[in-house]
Amino acid sequence: MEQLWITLPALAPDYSGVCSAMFDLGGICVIHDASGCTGNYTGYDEPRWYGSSSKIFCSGLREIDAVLGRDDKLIDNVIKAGELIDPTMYTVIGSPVPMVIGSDMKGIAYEIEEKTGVPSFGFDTNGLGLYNKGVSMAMCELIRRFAKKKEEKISRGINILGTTPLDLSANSNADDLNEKVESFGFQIVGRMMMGAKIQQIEDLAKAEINLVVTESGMEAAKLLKRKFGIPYVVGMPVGNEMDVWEALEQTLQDKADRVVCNEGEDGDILIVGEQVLANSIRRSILNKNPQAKVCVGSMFGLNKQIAGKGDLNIPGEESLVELLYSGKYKVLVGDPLMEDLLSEKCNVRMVKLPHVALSSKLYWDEAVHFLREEMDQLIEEIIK
Amino acid sequence: MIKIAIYGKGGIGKSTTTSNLSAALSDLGYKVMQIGCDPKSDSTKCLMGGVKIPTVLDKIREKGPEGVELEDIVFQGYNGILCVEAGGPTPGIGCAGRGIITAFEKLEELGGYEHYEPDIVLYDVLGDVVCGGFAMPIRGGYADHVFIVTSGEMMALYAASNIASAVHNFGKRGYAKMSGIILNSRNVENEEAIVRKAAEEMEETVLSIIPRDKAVQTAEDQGKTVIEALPESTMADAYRELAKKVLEVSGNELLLHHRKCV
Repeated sequence: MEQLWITLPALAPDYSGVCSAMFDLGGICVIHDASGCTGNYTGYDEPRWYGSSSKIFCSGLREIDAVLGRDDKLIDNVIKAGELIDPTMYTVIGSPVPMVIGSDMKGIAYEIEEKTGVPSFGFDTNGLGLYNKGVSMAMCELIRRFAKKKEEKISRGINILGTTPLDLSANSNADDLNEKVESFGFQIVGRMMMGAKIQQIEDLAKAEINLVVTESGMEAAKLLKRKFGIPYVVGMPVGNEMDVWEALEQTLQDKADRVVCNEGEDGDILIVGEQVLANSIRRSILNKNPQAKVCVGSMFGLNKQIAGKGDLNIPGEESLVELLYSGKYKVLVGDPLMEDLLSEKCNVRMVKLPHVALSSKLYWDEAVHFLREEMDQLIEEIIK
Repeated sequence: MIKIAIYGKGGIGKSTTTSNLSAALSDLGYKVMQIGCDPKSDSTKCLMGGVKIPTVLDKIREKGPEGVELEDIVFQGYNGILCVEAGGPTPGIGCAGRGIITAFEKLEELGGYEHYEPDIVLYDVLGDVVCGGFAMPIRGGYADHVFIVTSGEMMALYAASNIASAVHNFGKRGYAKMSGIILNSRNVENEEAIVRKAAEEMEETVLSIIPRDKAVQTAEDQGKTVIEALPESTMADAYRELAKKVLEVSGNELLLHHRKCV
């Protein structure tokens, strides 16, 4: 019964991840669906949608079009929309129905590009994969398509990988991160993906180092390492902690990839959320109390490369409930919606850390500012 | 690696032709992988001594999507030919086309092509290009060349025309190209002329003519290909001739690669 979710809502899906990654690039995004998937993304997963001019469309897929295989209709409509909007690129994005009928999203994108001459991307998303997979797919495709080999390196040039509001929320986290990175003497080359521009992607190879701030950025970091030899540090800077900044300096020197912090011990404190942020919170807790037992759990597929020994893949609500009632944990750090899973019986104290990919718009206005004092306060609250 | 898809009307002899082609190519020294794309899952039977192998979808059903490993779905048959059967859903329910996609995705996810490094991959595809799933073998990243097996019977030619039209349609996406028609003779009156005329109308050529011969039945009764069971027969020569022609039209890059390696 791993997929029986009674209290928690459905997690943000892969198509929302692709749209969120593409949002700032000035292209047309078309979700190939009847309208529910597009509504889910624009209404629940994308804080920037409200008041923005981004060009997210629904293809308006109907039963008869699915039955008859009317790719031509989709292609014609996309091109007509493009004539009015003049986009930088086209992205066609799959949803459950195209998945079931085997729509060839990459082939559709190929035809659009052949007809318009504008770069076009097709993603075989299906609504069953999770947002981090979608963000990752989009980033890697953009890098493969646009990033160019550069002889010239920018001294202390850095790319920030994996930023979307699904993890960084609707507050100023992304801007705070950029400012802080610059305050440590780095020059930001690429903002992937909040604040991204095609020119930035073309220049990614000019950076000396990559900072991966969410799990969504991992595959892109590995791709950039393979293509251009850029080393990476995995860590989200939190509060006044220096670990990420120190890791960046070390990696600039020895070019070795680093993960902050993937050492932990199962027990006492369970952090369930975005894996890189959770790792950084764990580091901060261990800095203050080296004896603490802190475990990270992911409901978005635990990435083993950045996981600690006892870290947990939590495939569904029931698994999470089992953990919370196992008697092993005293504190749960997670999205406020998880509080409903607790009762006096399990005796677990809740520390709230909203995550848009889980609770969407419900708490995005109350999201924690990762780089501000309130994050230090949150960590104090965890260890008190 | 050359990837070839063999299409044609159901019951026209695709699996027999494909298995004999695989066997003939492997006798020439190539590492061959044959992937059956039909819920009947009997494409590779004659390469496996008459035994049906477990299919990719069977294994996914049994072990769950994450539990399947390459060894569960790739089997070595005659002369080391790598045999895979995509399989199908529970008869009467589910979606066969989507099943093909799932099987292909699983083989790719497990790194099947990289692990075994076949020189030639043959996709033996059910009947017609009836939906997105059965078009999977001719999509980007899969087959580079498509051959259609037909007889001179009208229904087989209608199916051939439909398939050719799908392949041409996919040409807009830079996918596989039609590389010829294989006439699997049924002794229809004036058969060669009929098929040549139909090929002309499809703007294709007849690559090879496989005669009708009881050797095929004799070999199949033993659970073998003609190449394995009756290697000295004229029918085996016909399949070897087909292998040479298939290589000529689709394998130039492979032959060059082999020469470089030598």
